[in-house]
Amino acid sequence: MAAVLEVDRLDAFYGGFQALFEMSLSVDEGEIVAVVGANGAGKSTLLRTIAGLMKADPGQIRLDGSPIGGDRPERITRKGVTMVPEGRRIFPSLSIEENLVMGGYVGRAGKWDLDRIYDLFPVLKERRRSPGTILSGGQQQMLAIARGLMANPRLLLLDEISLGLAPVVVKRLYSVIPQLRDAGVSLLIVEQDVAQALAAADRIYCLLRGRVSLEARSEDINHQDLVAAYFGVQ
Amino acid sequence: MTTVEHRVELGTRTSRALGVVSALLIGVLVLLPFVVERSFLVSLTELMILIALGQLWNLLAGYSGIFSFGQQAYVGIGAYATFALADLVGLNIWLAIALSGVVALVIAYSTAFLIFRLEGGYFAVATWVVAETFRLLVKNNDRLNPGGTPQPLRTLASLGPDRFQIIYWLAVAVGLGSVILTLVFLRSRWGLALSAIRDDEETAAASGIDVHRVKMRVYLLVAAMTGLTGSVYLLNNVSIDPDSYFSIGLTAQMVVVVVVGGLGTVEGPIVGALIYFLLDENLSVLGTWWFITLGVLLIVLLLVAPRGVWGTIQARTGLRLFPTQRRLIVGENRSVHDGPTDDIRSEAEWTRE
Amino acid sequence: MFAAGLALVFGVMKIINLVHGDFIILSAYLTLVLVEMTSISPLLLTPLVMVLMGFFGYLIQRGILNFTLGSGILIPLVVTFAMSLVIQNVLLEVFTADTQGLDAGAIELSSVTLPLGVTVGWFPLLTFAFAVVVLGALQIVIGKTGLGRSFRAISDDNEMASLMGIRTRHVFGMAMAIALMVTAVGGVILGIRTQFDPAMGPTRLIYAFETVVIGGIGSLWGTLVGGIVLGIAQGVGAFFDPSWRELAGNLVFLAVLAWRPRGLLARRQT
Repeated sequence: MAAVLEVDRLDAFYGGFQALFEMSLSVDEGEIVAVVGANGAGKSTLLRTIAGLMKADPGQIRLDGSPIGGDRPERITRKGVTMVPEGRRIFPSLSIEENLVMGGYVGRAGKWDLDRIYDLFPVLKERRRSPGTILSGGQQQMLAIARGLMANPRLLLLDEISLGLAPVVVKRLYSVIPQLRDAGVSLLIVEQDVAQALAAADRIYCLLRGRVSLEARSEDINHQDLVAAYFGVQ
Repeated sequence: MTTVEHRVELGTRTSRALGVVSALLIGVLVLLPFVVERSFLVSLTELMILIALGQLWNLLAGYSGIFSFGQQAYVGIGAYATFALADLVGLNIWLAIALSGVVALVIAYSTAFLIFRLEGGYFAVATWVVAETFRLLVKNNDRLNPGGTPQPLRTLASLGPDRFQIIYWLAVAVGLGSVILTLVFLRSRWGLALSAIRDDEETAAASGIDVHRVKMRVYLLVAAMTGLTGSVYLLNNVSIDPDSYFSIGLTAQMVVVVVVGGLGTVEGPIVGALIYFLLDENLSVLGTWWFITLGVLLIVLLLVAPRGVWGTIQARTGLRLFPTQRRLIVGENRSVHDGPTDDIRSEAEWTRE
Repeated sequence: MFAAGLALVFGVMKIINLVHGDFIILSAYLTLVLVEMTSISPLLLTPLVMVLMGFFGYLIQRGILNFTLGSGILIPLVVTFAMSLVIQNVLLEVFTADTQGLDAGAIELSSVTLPLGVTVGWFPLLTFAFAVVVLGALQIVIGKTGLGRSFRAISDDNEMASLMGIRTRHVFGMAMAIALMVTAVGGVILGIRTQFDPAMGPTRLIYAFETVVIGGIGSLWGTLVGGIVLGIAQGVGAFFDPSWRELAGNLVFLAVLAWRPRGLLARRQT
């Protein structure tokens, strides 16, 4: 299977502070890859850089082989990488439907349109003319994911979708994920909840202080290794 | 009248060397009146006033994040306070000068609660409106502005025949004073609070810093000092009128001086004042074309080098004449910097566009 | 009576102008030039002025102002200030400091009698109608069109909007263009209503700003209300003494600030 996304020795900086050190990872077509790690390990930084919100050299990030590092965020979205950001970030001045329409703004052709989204997330259809802010946390997360899908991405980046949500809600969210993969979307998921990540993903990367400390298929993972990689215990 | 503090403790090698040079420079400044002619002295006085205004505005905008377009209110208030107290009420002129700062402080205190309800650009224009209000109030007042004509400060003569020198020294005091005030403030715990607030206001508040109180303190201090400067401005200009002394043009000068020199640096306003002063002396004969050129230059400068002349130099070389950074030396070769960040573009460097 | 008429007129001039006092004056001068070139009544020229100013606004935004974003509020503030300086002085050079006026013909002087025996000038009435129409149009653009949606999205969350693929630079340009188009209408009306000269910009800016704050930041109809309130205040002040006009306006502004800092019609949104 070909790689949809390749990250090749990526460095990332916040001003003078280096957050990522020569990070390399990949996502194959149809894969669900999870990234875990303690706070500050660089998980969100990684996603943000891939999405174009932070600087990178062109060759350091490649989509289907062509370099996208350093491109403007809207170009990256147009090329097929969509980010569902941490904290959901629904537009409060827009209705639910308008939020979805905004998601599709980039105009990529594909299967995902309003009807299909509403089939997948019926609760969004009920209240589609209301402002997004009336939804509960879990529903807002659904809206954020749905909005991301409207862009018909090849690769969907999910940043901490479980944040602030009850476990039951999180489970419901994650039940949708396989359906996305079946529809042809590859996924790169950053997740605080390691157990959930292991359950959902094919492969896992663990980050520690800006570097990859462990990479394995989730079924092959050894619990002790993971703990060591997560916390950096020698 | 003027005392010079040694800024040795947190100094870098460069600044320590410069400390000596500055002491010499100040000595020269003080002794200048005895060797140069009067017109030069008057020009220098103007320069000193400009430096003072610039420093003070920088303390507000560059270090505290308070963008006021109404500082001219305090220039006018200080000047009119001196005028009223000396000419109209009959106080000793020295007293009148000293009290100008107090009057400015009191008035700043009473208007502050109003304008601090707004933020950002709205705050800026609100301060402008307040200044305009004062201008109009004074303009319509028959005692302060009889007949609408500029009033001379009659008691100026009581300063004696050496008054040009005295005014000059006062201006030097005010100019130096504002630099020193900035330095002292930044190195105090209030300064630390300021840099914390600038970095992240919410976290600062959560850490127990009373954000409002710190900002107020800076604002009031600057207002008082600006009032004093206004007083000196009057002394140098002899006559007073509401339109000139409450003019938005004064803020314009402050902004240009600070931005050209370098926002958020102590050296910046000094450099900016010098540049502006030289340009103005030589080019203002061009009239409207001078303003047009100035405007265009400003725009270009801001797009190309938003840190200002000194700011850009400092960013490239790390040169600091006045040390305001606190350096924590950990082990032999590593030091961690903490202190007012002079980097106004730091946010823009994280993300694009 | 007199004050009410003034209020109607001031209502328009302020709402149409948010941060571009000098752009209003520029519009007035532009109209002057066009009138001289074509001899058409200024009111009829309004659409043309709008289009020209719209282009101008787009160019300015993309050419200059877009580069000032993201570095805090000071730089855009100083840049617009510098632009104000340049525009005022260029106008001064080209047109001199003499006051000018636009002539709209008989409509300026005629009046109409409403029921209840109140006589209102045609022109102020027309101005008010213009204001309402423009505001209404603006509401529709923001609420119903794709562009308006982009405006709202960007003002909510700039970063997310750009992630969605919105060409923020272009949208900013359009926002400025529309703002200036609206401003242009104000400029034409100003030119007809009073004499104008290059230095009037900053005062217009202050009025506009006061209008926005009084009416409520973030509420379009609030700006209309604000304009009316300000107009009345200024009219009352001028009634007592012509030189009190501005002062009265300022005092009312400060009073509203003290009593209801969010403005009279404020929305909870930033």
